[in-house]
Amino acid sequence: MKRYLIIGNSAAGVNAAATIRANDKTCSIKIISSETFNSYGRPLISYYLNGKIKPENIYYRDENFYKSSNIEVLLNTKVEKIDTIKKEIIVDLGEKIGYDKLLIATGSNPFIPPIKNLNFNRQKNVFTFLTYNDSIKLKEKITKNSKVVIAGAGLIGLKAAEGLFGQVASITVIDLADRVMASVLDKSEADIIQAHIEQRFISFKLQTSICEVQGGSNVSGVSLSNGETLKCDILIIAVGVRPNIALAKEAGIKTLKGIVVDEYMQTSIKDIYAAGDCVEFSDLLSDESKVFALWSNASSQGEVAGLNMTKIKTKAPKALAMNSISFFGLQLISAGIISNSKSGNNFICSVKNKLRKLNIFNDNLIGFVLINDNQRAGIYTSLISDKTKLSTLSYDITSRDIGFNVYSKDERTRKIWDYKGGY
Amino acid sequence: MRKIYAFESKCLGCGLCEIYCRTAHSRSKDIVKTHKRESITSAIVVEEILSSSTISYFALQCRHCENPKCIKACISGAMYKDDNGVVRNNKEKCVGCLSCVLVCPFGAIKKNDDGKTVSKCDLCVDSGEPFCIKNCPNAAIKFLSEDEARVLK
Amino acid sequence: MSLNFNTPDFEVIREESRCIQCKVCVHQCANTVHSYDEEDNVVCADDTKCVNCHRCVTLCPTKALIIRRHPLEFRENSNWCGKAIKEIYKQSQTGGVLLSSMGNPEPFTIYWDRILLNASQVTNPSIDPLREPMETKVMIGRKPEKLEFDSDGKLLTKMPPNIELKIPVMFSAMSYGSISRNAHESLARAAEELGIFYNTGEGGLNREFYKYGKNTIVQVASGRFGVHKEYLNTGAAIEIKIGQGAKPGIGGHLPGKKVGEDVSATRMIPVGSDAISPAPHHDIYSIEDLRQLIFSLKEVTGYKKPVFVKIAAVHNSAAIASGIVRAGADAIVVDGFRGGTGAAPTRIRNNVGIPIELALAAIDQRLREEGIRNYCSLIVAGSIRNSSDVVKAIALGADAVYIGSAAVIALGCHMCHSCSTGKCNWGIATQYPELVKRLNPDVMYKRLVNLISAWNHEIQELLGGMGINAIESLRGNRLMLRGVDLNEKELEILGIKYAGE
Repeated sequence: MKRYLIIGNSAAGVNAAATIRANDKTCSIKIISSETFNSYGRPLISYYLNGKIKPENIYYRDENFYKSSNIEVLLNTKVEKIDTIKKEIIVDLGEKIGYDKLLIATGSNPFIPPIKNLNFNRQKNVFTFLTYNDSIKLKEKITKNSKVVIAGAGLIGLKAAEGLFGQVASITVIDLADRVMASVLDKSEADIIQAHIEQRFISFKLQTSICEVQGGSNVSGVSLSNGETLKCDILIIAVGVRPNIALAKEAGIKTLKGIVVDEYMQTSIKDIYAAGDCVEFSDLLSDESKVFALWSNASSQGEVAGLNMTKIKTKAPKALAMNSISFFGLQLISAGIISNSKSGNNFICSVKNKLRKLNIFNDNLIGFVLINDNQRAGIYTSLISDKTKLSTLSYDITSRDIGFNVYSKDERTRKIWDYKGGY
Repeated sequence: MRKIYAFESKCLGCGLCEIYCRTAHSRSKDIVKTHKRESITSAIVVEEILSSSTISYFALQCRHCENPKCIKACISGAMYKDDNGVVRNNKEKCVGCLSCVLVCPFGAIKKNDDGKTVSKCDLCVDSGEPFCIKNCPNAAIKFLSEDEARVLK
Repeated sequence: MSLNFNTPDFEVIREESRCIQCKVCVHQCANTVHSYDEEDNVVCADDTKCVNCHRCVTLCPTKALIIRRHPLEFRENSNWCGKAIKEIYKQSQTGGVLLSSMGNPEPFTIYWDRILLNASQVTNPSIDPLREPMETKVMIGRKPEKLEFDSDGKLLTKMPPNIELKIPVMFSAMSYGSISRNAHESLARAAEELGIFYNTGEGGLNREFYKYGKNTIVQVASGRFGVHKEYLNTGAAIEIKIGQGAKPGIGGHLPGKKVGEDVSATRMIPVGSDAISPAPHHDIYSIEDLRQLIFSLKEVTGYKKPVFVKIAAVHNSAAIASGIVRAGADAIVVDGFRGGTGAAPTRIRNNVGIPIELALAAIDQRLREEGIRNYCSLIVAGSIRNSSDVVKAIALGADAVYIGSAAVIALGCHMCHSCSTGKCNWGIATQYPELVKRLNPDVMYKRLVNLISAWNHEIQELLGGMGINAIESLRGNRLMLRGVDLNEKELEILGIKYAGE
C-alpha cells in the first residue's frame, strides 16, 4: 500500500488528495495542516468577517469529504523537518511519519515588514489577514469604536477593509504606492476602485508608509513617513505574502523565490512534489519563473501533482496571472499583462463606473481589465491562454462586447463539440 | 453523458430557450410569474452572427467539460461535478466572486441578477429533459450523447 | 400628402398581465408588427401591418396574444361590403392590379360538402380495415386495353410506364422559388417515406434534390425553367403544365428579388432577374403541338416515364381532356378553381375557372363515353381538404389527387394569404434565409407523413364502411355517392343521385 503524504490542506493539497484517491483506491493519504480548521475557501475569510456567509459555508469541501475519500487529516500540526533520505517527516510532537510520495503545498506566509517598535507576536492588536483564524481573531477584537489602520492597499488589505466596513469606527488604508492594488492595476483602473471604496468613508493614505508604531503590548497609533501620525486600536499588516519555502529549503530541495519544480510538479528531489503558492512556475506570457498566489493555479497544480504522484504523467500548463474580485459590489476582473508600462497597445473603453481595457501586442491579446463589465470574461482569458491570433477572429475585439461569435463557424463547432477543459 | 448541442442552421434566435431556462429554475415554474416576480438569470446565451452575408444565431450553454476550469477556479467549493458528470453550482455556497466566469472559455457562466451567485446550465437534471430542448420551436437544440453528436457535427 | 384610406384588417390584442416583454414576437414578425418600447418597457403593435399569420401567437410563451378581425366597421351593405370598398381604396391609391395568394376564397358552392358517401348495412357487409387487408395502392399511367399471355402464363403485352402510389394522394406542383428550399425538402422526404410523389413545380430541381428523384414528378411549364435532359430523367414522371386552377389563362411571375443564387442556378436564369412564365406555351397552339411536346419528352426519357398534362378546370375541360388523351398523355391533371397559388391577380383567382368536382365528373364521363378512359389516369387538384374529399373524388372518377394547400398547412401555413409578399413568417413562401430557417425539414416532413398516414387510415375506414377493400374498386363508383342541396342539373353533371333515391 502506497503512502501519500501532503503538507498543506488548502487548494493544492486538497485537490491533490482528491486526485490521488480517484486514481488509487487503496493507498493511504495523509494531510498535515498547521491550521485549526479543515480546508476552507481562503478568499472567503473576508466574507466571514462581514457575515456575508454562514460559518458552515466557508468550508471548501463538505464534512464528509475526508471521511468518504478516506483521507486522514492532522490539524494543528506543524511539520518540523523533512528527511528526504529516510523518506519521512517529523512533526512538532516529534512524531515521524513516513511517505512514499510527498507533496509540499505549504502556501505562503504574510510578510511582516521591519517597522520600528513593531512586534507582531507580542502586540495583541496587530493582525495579519490570511487565515480563517486571523479573521476569527480579528472579528472578536473589533468594536464599533475601533479605529483600524491597514498597512497595504493590495488585494488582501482592501478585502480586509471591505470585511470590516460597517463594524468599526474608521478604516484607513496606507500604501507606499501611488494607487491601490499597485501590483495588479494601472492608475486609471486603480482610481476607479479607490473612488468606489472611498464612497464608504474608508480613507487612503498613499505614497507613504508606516515608519513606527506607538504603544506597548497594544499598538495605539502609527507614524507615517510623511510625518503624519494616526491613532489606531487595530493594525492589520497586509503588505504582501512570501512563499512558505523554509521547510523545503532546509530539506535541501532547490528553491529560489519559491520551490523549484519541473512541469510535472516534481521538486529537485525524487518523489517530492510541490504545488500552489509555495512554488515558482513558468509564466505563460513571459516564460519567466514566478510565484503565483492564485487559487485556481493552486488547485490545478494540486491536481496535476496528484496525477503525477500516481504515475499518470501530466504536464502542468504555464500559469496565467488573473484576478476576480469585488469591492462593495464593484466587480474587477483581470488577467495577463495589463500594465501600460509593459509593451502592447492598450485599448480602453470606459463609461461611468464601467471599464474595459484590452492589452494587445503583436496580434495577440496579452491582458485585460474589466470593471463592472464581466460577462463573457472567460473568452478573453482563453484568447490569452490559447495565444489566438486576433486577426483570425470574426471581428475586432475592441469594437464591441466579446461573444463566442468571435470565433469562425468551424472554430465554434470544434470547441463546442471537442473542448474538454484543462488544468 | 448527454449534453446540449445547438445547431446554428436551425436556430432562429427567438430566445425562447432563455425564457424556459429561467422558468425551469424558478420557484414558481410559471412563465409569467417567473418573469414578473422573480429575478432569474438564464443559463443560456443566445448569440447572433450578423454579417453582410449571413444572419444566424446559436444558443450556447455550459459544455460540462471533462476537466472543467471553473471547478478549479472556484474559491468556495460551490462548483462541482456530480456523479453523472454534470458540472453544477451549489448556490448555497456560491459567493458570486466570478472566478469561474473568468476562466470559462465559452463565456457560459453568467453573473446572476441578484449579484450574489452565478447562473449556469445544470441540464435541468432535477426535472428530466432540459426545458430549453423541450421548448425549442425549431428543434435547433438537441440533447445528445457525444457519439450521437459526433455524427451530426 | 399622407392621406391613406387603408385601414387595418386585424387587431393585435396583448394581454398585458401575461406579457413578459420577452420580445419573441418582435423578433419573429417579419412584417414588423411588434416593437419594443424601451422607455416604457412595453411591447407595442402596429395593426396595419398584421396579416394574421399567427406566428407571434404560436410562439408567444405566455399566450398573451390574440389577433382578431379589426372591429372597425364600414357603412357597408350587401352589395358594397367592406372588402369591396377596401379593394377600391387600394387600387385607387396604387393604380395596380390586385394580387392575392392561396385559393379562391369566395363563397361558391363546395360540392364535396353536398355529396354524401354510402355505407354497407346488412347485405354486402362492411369491412374492418384493422382486421382485413385494405388496398390503397394505385398505379398512375396508361393501362393496356387487354393483356396477352403466352402458354406459360407469361405476360406478352408490353406494359406502358406507370408509377405506383402507396396512397392516392400526391403533393402538387409548388416551385422552388415560390416555396422555400426547406419546404421542398420536407415535401420530398415525406413523399419518399410515404411512397408517393411530390412535384417540382415549374422552377426546376436543385441538384441536391436529385436523390429524391424516384419520388419526384418534374414539371415542364411555359417558361421551361430548369428543364434539361438530366432533370427530365431524374424524375419518376413528367408533367406538362398548361394551366393552373388559381389563375387559368395567365402565366406566372417570380419577382427578381426572390431569384437568389440557388434559385438562379436551379432555374437556369441570372440572379435577380424576373422569372416570367408566359401565359401559353409558345410552341403549343393545338392538340397536335401538345402531342409533339409529349413525345419529345418521351423520346428524351426513352419512353420509360409517364407524361402528365396539367390543365385548369375551365368550361370545356371534358373536350380538352379528350384531346389530351388522344395526344398521348399518360395522365391528365385537372386543377379546380379553388387551387392555391403563391400569387395571382385577385380578379382572375376569384372569377375564372370552374369547380373541380364538376370538371372531374364531366371529364370522367366524357372519357368513358369515348372509350378512352383507360388510356390515361385522371388526377384532380384544387382544394382537397381531407380524406373524405379524396374518397369522393375517387368515386367521381379520379385515380388520385394532388394536395397543395393542405400540405403547406401541415407545414405551418396559417392561410394568411400573403405569400406574394415573400415574407412568410413560417418559412414556406419565402427565400429570406432567416425566414426559411424557421421551417426545419427534420421536424416538418414528419408532419406531412403524419397527415397523409392519418388520411390513409381514414380512407381505409371509409372504404371498409362501403364494403370495399381496394381503392381501385371505388374509382368512378358513383353509386356510392348521393347529393344534397343540389339541383337536377348539378346532379346530372356529377352523375349522382339525390339522397333518398
